[in-house]
Amino acid sequence: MWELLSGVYLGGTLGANDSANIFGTAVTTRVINFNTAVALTSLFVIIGAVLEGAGGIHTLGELADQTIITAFIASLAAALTVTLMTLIGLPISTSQAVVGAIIGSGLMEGRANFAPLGPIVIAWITTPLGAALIAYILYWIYLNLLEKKTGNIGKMDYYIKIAFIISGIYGAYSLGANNVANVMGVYVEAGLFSPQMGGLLGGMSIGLGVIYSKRVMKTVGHKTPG
Amino acid sequence: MKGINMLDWSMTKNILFGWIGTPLISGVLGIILSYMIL
Repeated sequence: MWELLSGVYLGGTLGANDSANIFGTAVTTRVINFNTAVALTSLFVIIGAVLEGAGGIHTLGELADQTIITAFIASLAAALTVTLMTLIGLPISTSQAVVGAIIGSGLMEGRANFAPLGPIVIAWITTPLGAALIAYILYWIYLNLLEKKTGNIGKMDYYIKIAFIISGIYGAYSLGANNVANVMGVYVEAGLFSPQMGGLLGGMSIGLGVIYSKRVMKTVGHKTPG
Repeated sequence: MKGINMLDWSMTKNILFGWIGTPLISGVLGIILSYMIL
C-alpha cells in the first residue's frame, strides 16, 4: 500500500492550494474565521468526492491502463509538477498535471490512449471562458438588481456574507466532486479500490491538505493586481 | 470595451505558461520516472 503515498501527497498539495480559492477572500475579509473555513471545506470536499467523484474517475481511467506501480508513478509525477509550479508561484490546474503525467508514463509502455484527450482539452479551454461569462452575468445581476433594489447597506452586507458562505460550501463540494479523480483515478483504474472508496480516501487526503492552506488563503485574499 | 480595458492582463503570460507548461512538464516527469522505476 506504500504506492498510495504519492496519491495522498497529491491530494494534500491539491487541498492546500486549491481550497484557498474557495474561502480565501471570505477569511481575509473576516466574513468567517479560518477554522470554520477549514471545517466547512474539508467536510464538503469529502461529501462531493464520495457522491459525485466517480464520473471524473472513469474519464481519467480511460487515458491509460494502470497497475499499482504505474499509478504511483503518475501521481508522483503530477505531485512534483504541482509542487514545482507552486514554488515558482504559478497558478495551475492539478487536472492538467495529472493528465500529462498519465499520458507521459503511459507512453513508456504503449499504454497511453489518446482518444479521451479531445473532450478533456476542450474542457480546459471552455472552463475559464464559461467561468468568465457566468461571473459577468452574476456581477450584472448584482449591479442592476440587488444593489439598486436594496438601498440598506447593512442589509446588503448581510446578504453578501450569506452568499459568501453558501458559494464557499458549493465550491468545496465541487472541488471534491471534480478533483478527487485527479488524486485517486489512477488507483481505481489499477483496481486498488472502488470509485466510492477512492472518493472517500481522495476526499480525506484533500481535506487533510486544507488544514495547511492558511498561507495560500492569505495570499489569495490579499494579493491584488499591481 | 471599457470593462476589458480595466482588466489587468500583466499575468496573462505567466498563466499561459502554467496552462501549457503543466501537462508538458508532468508528461516529461512521467516518462523519466517510468524509465527509472519500471
